[in-house]
Amino acid sequence: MSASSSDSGRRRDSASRKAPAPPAVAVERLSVAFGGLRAVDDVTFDVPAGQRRAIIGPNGAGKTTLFNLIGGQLRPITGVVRLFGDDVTHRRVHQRARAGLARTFQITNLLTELSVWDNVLLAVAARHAPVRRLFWNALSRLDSVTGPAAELLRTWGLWTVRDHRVSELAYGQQRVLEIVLALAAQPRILLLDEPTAGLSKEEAGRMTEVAAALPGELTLLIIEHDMEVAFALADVVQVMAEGVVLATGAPAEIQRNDEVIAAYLGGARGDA
Amino acid sequence: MAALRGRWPTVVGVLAGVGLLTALPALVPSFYVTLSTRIIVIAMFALAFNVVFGMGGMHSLGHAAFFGLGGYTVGLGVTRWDWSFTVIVLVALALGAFVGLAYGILTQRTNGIYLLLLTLALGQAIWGLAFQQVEITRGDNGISGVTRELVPLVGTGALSYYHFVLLVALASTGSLWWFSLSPVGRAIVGTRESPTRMAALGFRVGLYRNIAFVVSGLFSALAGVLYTWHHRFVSPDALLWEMSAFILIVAIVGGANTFLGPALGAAVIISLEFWVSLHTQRWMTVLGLVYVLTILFLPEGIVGLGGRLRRRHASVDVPVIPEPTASRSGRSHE
Repeated sequence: MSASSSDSGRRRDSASRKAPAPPAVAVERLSVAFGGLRAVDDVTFDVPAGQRRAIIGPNGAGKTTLFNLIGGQLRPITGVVRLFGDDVTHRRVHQRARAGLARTFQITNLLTELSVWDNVLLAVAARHAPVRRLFWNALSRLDSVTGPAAELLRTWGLWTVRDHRVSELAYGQQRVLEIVLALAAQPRILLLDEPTAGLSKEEAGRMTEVAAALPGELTLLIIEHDMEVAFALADVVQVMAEGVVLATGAPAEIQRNDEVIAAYLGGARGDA
Repeated sequence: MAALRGRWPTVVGVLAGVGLLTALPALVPSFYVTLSTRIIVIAMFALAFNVVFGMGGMHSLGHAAFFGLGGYTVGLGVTRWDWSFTVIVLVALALGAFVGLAYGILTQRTNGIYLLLLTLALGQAIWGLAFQQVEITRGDNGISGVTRELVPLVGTGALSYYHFVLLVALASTGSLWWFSLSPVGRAIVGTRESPTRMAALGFRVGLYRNIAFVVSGLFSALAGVLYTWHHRFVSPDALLWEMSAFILIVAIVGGANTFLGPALGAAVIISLEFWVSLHTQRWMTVLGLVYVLTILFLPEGIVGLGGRLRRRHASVDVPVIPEPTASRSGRSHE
């Protein structure tokens, strides 16, 4: 971005066509600490647009903390977060969301006492700046909102339960609704934080299909404890332990990586 | 969706309610007209309060400030500054909105007990102004002789003032209902349910909290205007924290999770106050008991009583994880 800014407009145009597009997500020397513990310790990586990356690692590896840093729920003590080349390190959560970032939460985070329908309407309304500020028309009468909302609910099989309160849904349905809300804003980057957590084996299988059916152009980062799910979904697997990235590579490579095996079987970094 | 299906009963119910309220002075002795006026004013205050409390999930104990500011605008505007009706109402609305915004900004990052204490402090600061600026407000004595000459009434006396209050209250209730269904109104409810989820969706949570306080402050001040003209008197009591606590209890007893619950709470509590006061001096004790009993047995308020009976326990007969029908097409690798 800074390199091409000195070029003339015309040359920049042709240059940007040849130059690789900026990565969807780029983190650079990112660190955050809770008390004395470095939850994320000097982490650097790029995720190209359209990639599906699984982030795996034992509990306490810093995976969710990393998501919170990318999403803006946490601020790093050092380092930079870029989305499509834009430095968003100091932007707030809603600003990053408007830049095309959506996420689900490890612990289901929905508008619990509202209906499924209201949840999706609000999620769709979030992407229309004029609608977000409207205070004289009923939200449920805006065709520009109800149309996409109905389509989402039909696509994801929640149409028949649209009038139910979220708190009345089965847990598996709530996990799907998490993804539906994230998708409603038509994000370019989606962070899924353990979508199969707490689901039965069978439900987790369906959830994997759900995740696999996401649009291809979407850049997907997924935290997953279930190795089968992670390896099935991802183009690239990134292994984390104790706040650092141990290894990054294709699923087949990662499965053979000694360090990764050590992280899962024994102490994370050999001695300690 | 649900609103569309059950629309006719609602329309009939609203029309019947409005008709009954309009015809009320013809049906009951004039003393009850005065009582009903008071109920409607407090009901309107409770509905306005509930934008912050019920919709926004923010525990305010400082709403008397808006109410009292509206009240004092009338008191001072009529007796001291000779303002016209329009100016009085506009100044009251502006004050309510402005102080509402100040509340919103000053409490931006607080919740729960901290928000409660902060709004209490803000409210008491404004009460202190009225109490101590004796030269302007006459302090503890209050301002009496607030005549209704300015109020555009069809006739004179309690009866026509009742209809004036009813008209303003119905228009306000309609506006608030409309507002509560709007994207902004629904987003305020969303921030009550989960601020983190709303932020992650792209909503600027702080903005919606501020809007809730502004709208709530505006209509609370308007209720305060009606209140002062009703009693033809205003004193620092209208600004006192006890008024804030009273409106909080009214909303909780009626049912803060529903739109009209707080209005019902006002009707029940003020009727009860009237009836209890006929028999004993211990109204505050009774109010405390009513509050405790409500918390213990009707956590959703009086409205929750009906809701509990109607609550459908419909089974959700779709697969637990639904099969997506989205296609996998369009995936491309670089």
